Amino acid sequence: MSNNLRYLSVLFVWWFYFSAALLSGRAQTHKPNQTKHVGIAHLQDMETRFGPHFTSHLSAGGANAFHIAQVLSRTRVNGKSLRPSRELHQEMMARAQSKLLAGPSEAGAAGANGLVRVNDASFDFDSTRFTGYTQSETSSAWCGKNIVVGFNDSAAFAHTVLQHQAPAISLNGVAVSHDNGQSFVGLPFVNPGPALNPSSGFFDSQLAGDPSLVCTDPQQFVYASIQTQIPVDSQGNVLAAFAEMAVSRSSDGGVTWDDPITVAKKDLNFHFLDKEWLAVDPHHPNRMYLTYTDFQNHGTESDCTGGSGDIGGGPDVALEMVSSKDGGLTWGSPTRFGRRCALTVFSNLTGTQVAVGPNGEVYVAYTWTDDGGRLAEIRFRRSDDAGQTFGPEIVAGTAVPAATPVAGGLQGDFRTNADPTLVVDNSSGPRRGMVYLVWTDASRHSFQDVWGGFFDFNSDPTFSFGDIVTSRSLDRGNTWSAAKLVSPVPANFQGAGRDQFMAGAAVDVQGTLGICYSDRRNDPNNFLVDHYCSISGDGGNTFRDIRETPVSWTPNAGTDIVINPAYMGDYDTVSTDATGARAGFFSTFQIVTHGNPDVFALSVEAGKQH
Amino acid sequence: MRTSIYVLFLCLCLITGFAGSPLLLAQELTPFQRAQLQHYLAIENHLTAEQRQLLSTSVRDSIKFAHELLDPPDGPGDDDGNLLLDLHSPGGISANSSGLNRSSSMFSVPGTSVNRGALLPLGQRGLVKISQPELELQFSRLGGFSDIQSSTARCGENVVTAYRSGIAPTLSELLPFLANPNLFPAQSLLGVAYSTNGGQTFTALPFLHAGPAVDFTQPGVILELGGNASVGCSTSGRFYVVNSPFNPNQITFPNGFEVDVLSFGAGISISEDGGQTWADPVPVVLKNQNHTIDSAFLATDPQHPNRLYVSYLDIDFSFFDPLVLPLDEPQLCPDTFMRIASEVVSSVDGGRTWSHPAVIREDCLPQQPSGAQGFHPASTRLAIGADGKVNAAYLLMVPVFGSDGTTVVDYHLEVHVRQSSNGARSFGHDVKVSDLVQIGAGDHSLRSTLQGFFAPADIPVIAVDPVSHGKSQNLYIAWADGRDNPQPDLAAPFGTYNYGDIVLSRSTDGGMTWSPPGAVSPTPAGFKGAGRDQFLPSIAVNARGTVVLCYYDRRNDPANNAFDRYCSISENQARTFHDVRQSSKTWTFGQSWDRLGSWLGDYDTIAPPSIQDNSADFFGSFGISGDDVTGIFGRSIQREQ
Repeated sequence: MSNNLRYLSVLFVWWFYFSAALLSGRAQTHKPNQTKHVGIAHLQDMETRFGPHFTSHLSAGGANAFHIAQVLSRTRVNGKSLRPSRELHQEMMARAQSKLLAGPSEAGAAGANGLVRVNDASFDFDSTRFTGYTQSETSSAWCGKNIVVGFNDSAAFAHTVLQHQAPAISLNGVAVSHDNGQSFVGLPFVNPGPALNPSSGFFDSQLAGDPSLVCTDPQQFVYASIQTQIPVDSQGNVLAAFAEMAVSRSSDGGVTWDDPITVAKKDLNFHFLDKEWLAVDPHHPNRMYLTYTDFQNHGTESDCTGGSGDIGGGPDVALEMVSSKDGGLTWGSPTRFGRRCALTVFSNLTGTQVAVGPNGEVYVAYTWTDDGGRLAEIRFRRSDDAGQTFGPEIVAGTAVPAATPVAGGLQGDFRTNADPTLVVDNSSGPRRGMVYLVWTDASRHSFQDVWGGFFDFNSDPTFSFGDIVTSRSLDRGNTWSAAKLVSPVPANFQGAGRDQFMAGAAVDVQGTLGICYSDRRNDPNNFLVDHYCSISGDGGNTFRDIRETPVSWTPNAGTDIVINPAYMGDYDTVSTDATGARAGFFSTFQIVTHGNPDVFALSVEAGKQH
Repeated sequence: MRTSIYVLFLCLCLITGFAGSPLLLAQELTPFQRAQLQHYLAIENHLTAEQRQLLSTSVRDSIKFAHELLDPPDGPGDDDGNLLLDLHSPGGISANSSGLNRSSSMFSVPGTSVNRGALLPLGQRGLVKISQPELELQFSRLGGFSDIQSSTARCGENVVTAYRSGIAPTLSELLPFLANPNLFPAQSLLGVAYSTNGGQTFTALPFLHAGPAVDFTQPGVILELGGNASVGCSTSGRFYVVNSPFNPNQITFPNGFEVDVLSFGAGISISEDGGQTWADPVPVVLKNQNHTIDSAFLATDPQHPNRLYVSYLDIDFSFFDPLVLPLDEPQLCPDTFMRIASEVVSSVDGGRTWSHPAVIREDCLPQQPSGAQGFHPASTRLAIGADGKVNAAYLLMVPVFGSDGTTVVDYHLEVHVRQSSNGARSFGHDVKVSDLVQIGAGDHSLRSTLQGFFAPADIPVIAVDPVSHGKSQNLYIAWADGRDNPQPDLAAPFGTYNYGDIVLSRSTDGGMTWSPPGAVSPTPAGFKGAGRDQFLPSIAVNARGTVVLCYYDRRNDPANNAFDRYCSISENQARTFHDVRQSSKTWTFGQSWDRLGSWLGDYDTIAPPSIQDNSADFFGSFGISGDDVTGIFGRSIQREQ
């Protein structure tokens, strides 16, 4: 094992031991063994090398991966699996396919208000009471009657790791609708592909969540996510380690998924690839673009060898794009469009999104956060040559991070962000080509909070309530309008403030803008959460709100042992019919029921709820 | 002026201890504070993972603070610490500078503008709201709004409930300081509320009075009331609140802040007017800094209500890592590694004077490769019979030795009882009541991880039937036990998830022998899930021999996530029970919304009516920790609800 092996190599080492214990049926004592102590030391060493507070820069998916490493390093493994689970996987898949053939079912069908459960709740506790029931952080793609929703899924982890239904690990959940989103069938996981070395008996490959989905016709769906791979020999010795981006392709409307295709690949000793976004050129459906954040060990590349932003320096960040001209089968080399060296504890450069305009222009947006973590800028660039080069970086807007800026935890103690959503009007309407950015900005409403200065030493003792804001560009991103509130605090709201967070957005075939987000307007105490869509038929000048959740729900993080305790997802999305056949929006989001997050969806037509 | 006030307030918080102070910053820690923090880290370091679980939630939260200040976590989603001890703080804690110090002029205290009672947490019909959680949210959205772990006593129509209050640390320090910025107020982690109408309505005080403030120009003693409250009463006017850990810290301020003596004990606060006002707390037991006094519990003699007994757990590190020179205390385990003891002190004059400690059980733990391990007791509960005998129920950690016969490789748990016939000066022989099969993940520590990733304490509770049935009074011991419904679980350490039942064992011969434990309310026949958890029982018996057990219960959620509160009532000496639901609505338990502490706590209690008042109801208090904000509620316990 290389002395320089860092990061998820250790994570995988744990998975190796974990899986080996399961495979061998060896009951382990609950006392941590020496090997596990060594692994924890390695994990700490990795963070030392990559800079303090490294994982605080990562997406929810990335943070989950590190959390899983720690959990597994402390988990006392029972040596028995429930049953030979390849058979179980076949049973699950056969059941799912029969459901799809049968049409809308009672379990997954839309309720009276149009709300439909997306994931299969029967998976929630089929392995254990401690994990497998978290489904959140959604991305959907809609083509004709077929809609596919991807999400981070601890049940997928349980199915692949605890039940060993696959030779590799998958955190990627997926559910499929073939009836315009009226009902969904959940699959046990997205196929993570084969083990790199099947004879080793170890998990050596993993799909690690952060879904981003597109479709090009009702059969062709593409699902992007984080991937890591660590090939080992038959003795479990690590031969190499790779941080990757991957896409999974389905040619049957999301029912089955090919083995993942590696889109970008770097040395996991020095890189961690995170928070990707996938877009398709609506006029050239085989052209796809994927952006991501490459977190690097400080000084890995020669242009980031100087200075030290913090104790130990780093990590460094590069924002990159790769593209495909054949529907995601093959991908080109990365093009870099963002760079920052030696992050401080609280600075960052991440949260990329990519979108394609009517003339094939490629837009990217991302978040730059200052050294103190107190102010974010929404930055934007355009490529007119299919991502080969990018124009100047433009600051499209600013944001004060919600809650306490540094700690970033909303009321209820779960993480949030100011990352932008980027969408383009590709309709044939009067606003064709208009570009929109949507993000959370907490600059307008603050609460003097006794404990604010304690949890967030770099900020004032305040709690800042977030608003969803939007800005638009009429000139392909050269200039941007002032940020506008999408849905101001209701005049009759009786509390100190209400949070809005995690907005997704889309523009439908009629040029209508839909922005959907989590909102606490119905609770004066600002705890309970709803999901709302704000619909604009005039290019974002005015909005009409639609409540998607019939009942407010209670946020509750930290109950699932394989999910990082501050996690309630980093984003949700809104999709439109990519075939252009139907107007309206398909909104996906989580609802937490007594601590159990599940994915729900609502079809929102421009003028009314479904 | 306001700036200077808050600079001084910062100093105040820096000196008055970390257990609830909002503004502690590591770079500015005084030697006194560092000593306190290191004491708590020493506690953690000196205990094995299993032994750490015997600490009360309050002490565990203090350890969490010590970690956050001296060993800060790395940021959102990062972990820091033991699996069962980590408490999910997504944000790093300051170790560099003070936001309040820099921006103090921006901060204003909303104490005069709080909107009292405007925001009710839950529509729980039939419940009485005891604490004021909506007040707490006026101060912060991040921490300090969790009220947990209640204890209630009733004498006549007066009822007093004390609880660990989220906002008490802020109010006990902040408000007195604003009144007089030259004084350092004592710190209280406890809230208290009183009722004069049998629990129909309550008036909550901002916090339980913690003692006199100290002029920062003079030497003095700053008192800190810990978060474990136990309430009792002798008359309708005279009420007691015992707290632990109780820290009277002698401090001088010659040049900055220096500590002379740190001490740890259990304290008592006394009210003579039914809980409306409280005298300065005084110690019932006090030891040096090498000790941790935890989980104090107060019992009163129903026949002689001025006779009080306080049990507590003493974890003594004097023998291998003295942090300060011991005072005049003998080293009780001089040649070993650690002493863990369940002890009791008593008073015959209504809490004015207290006896020296008597030992219920003590163990000197030898050094093992993974720390000091061996037999030792955990939290103890007392019940005083009509004959004046003192019955002590405690949990015993029983080591499982490896093949070498000396190395501890595992533990199992047993429920034990001992009895004193001489006013707790000494105790008779030890009687094993039963094995305890841990609920949930069953990891053989003193807290089992339950679905939802929280770990309630495994504390057996005891009550004595004041009615004689034959030669002896019946004794009842109850606890949460997982023996009846283990289910396969791939992530549990031993492969099963043990759904918890509240079980009860009964002795009809004065505690010499005990019946096999039986579930007081088995899983309903129509329950559709794999199982449902019950946990954290409390127990009481009234003068007619009616036995009441109350506990948290997930029976109304087939997925075993949502919480309810139920009571089981028996009129036939605990042979059969009838259930009543205390909560009118299930709630989502949130364990990690308040960054300052854990939710749920280690116990709640039932106050039986006094023996002179046969017609009165039992009154139970408990926490609702979910759906909105957390608060303490209460309800009279009637057979039909």
